[in-house]
Amino acid sequence: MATQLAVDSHARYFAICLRGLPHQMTSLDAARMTFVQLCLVGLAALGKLDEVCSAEEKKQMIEWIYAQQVLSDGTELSAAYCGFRGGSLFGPHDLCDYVPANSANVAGTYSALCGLLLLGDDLSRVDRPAIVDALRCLQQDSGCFAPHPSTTERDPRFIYCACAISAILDDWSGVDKDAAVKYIVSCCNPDGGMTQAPFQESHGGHLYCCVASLALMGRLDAIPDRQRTLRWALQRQNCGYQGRVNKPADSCYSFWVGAAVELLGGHDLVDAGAVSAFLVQCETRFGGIAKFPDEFPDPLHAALGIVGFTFCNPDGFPRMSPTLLLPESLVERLDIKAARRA
Amino acid sequence: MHGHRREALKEPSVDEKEQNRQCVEKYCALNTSVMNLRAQSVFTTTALDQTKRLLELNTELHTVWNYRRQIFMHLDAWHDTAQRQGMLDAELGFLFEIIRKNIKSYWMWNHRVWTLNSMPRADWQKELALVAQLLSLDARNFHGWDYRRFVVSRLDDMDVEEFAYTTEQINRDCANHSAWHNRSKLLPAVLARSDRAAEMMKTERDLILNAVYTDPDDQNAWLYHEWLVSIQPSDEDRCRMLRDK
Repeated sequence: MATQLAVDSHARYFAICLRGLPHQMTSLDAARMTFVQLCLVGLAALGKLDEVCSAEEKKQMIEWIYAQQVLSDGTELSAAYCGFRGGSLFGPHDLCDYVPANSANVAGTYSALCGLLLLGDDLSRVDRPAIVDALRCLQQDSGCFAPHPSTTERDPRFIYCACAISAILDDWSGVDKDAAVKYIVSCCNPDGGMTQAPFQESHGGHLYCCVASLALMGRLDAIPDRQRTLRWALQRQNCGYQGRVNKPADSCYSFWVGAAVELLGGHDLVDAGAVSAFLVQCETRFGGIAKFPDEFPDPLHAALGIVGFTFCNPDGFPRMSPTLLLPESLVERLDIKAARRA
Repeated sequence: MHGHRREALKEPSVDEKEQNRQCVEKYCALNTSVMNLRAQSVFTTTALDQTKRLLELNTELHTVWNYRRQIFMHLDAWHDTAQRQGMLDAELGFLFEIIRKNIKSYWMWNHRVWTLNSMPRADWQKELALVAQLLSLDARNFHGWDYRRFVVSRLDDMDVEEFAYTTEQINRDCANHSAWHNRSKLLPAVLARSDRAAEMMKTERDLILNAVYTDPDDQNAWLYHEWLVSIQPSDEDRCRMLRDK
């Protein structure tokens, strides 16, 4: 069975996606910043970013990203809305007199910072204090984070975004680490898994967000039973990785669960051949990786599947950080304290 | 992204291309219109209707769900109990229709919670029946089970009934980990209130054994068994449980 990735085919896929997505993906419009990041991550993981994106294209993407930055107007009202928006569908900033109508969100901010770094930008135009202030506003009493003001949503995904932002900006003053750790510990289940909120089923995506957040905060010691958590993660492998008990294997969990396994020191316990074979089965003939075999690809499953593949096949691919979706060489060059594999 | 099976691609006809172009134009125009209204803080029924049409095309526009909530709260009708009830009943109907398009949408489940919390009179029993219907479409839906726990928390004395629901789900498909998980959240309280604790524990053991015989490789029963052993009050109870099969 083939266990080699169709590198050139995937590189072409990401190049096409960066120029436009099909109408079936309309629902991703509000999160376009994340899909830009994912395409760049996929290219970086394949070692093809510079080959596919010309200097001019990179410059245009950098400008588009910065055009989504919501800057502070100096008032307290605007503080929580600062950072980067999820996309340009909200229109130009100067059309919005009403501050809450033009809000950034933590996922957009994280994706923007990652995207800028991958494109070679030095973040000199990023309003760092405004972003850190926004994080402070968005952290709840429970320790969890909301993604933006005026929403009831809060879960470990946004804790992760806040931690990743803080690590990239090397400024943790917007995050009460003790409170965040307390919330994460409340999401730890007796089976060793971790979840979105107390009482919910253990879930591979939230496992990643919780473990990576703890790793970035230097608090992996807070996991109640680390061996049990590693065991839960490893038991998600049946050929590829599943996200929950008795769900089918899904290519994106080769990153979410695979990265958690790397951070918990379980790299040598993974059946790398089986994960690789499953990911190759999820490849599509025209490029990209789908969630399952014989489905349409999308940038999320393609990027995360490729990064997950590189965890299992480190030779021949740039080494990717399990905590920040950035190449480790970039993380080291920029001296980002990203937490290493155990 | 979720569950789009690949079909053989064919070049769209001229008519289909024109139709697609018109769809895209319509979406973009509606999106621009809604964003403009929002930027100008317009909170009218016309704006409400436009947000509905936009959300029907794209359920994932979280800012538009936010805006829709703000519009509701600014309308005069909001301050009249009967009118608010009517508006929010209709909103529940709208949500139920479109949630089938994307049953994993965080925004729609959140909006449903907001709607029910804002209603003068929420019919929680009806909600329970509706979420049961949704879970019958996707028995592992993460949001569905979480929503079910939220609805149950609004009803009194539901532990025993919910516990029976998990039994029904497990008997339907003993691979349904969501049902086993939910059961583990209910069992301690149900046991504490029961005067037939020993009999109930025997039922749990039978359920586990049944699942193990059905599929020994299924992790569910083993995980549940491990958890059940761990909640026994003493080592003696644990040993007794392990001995009495």
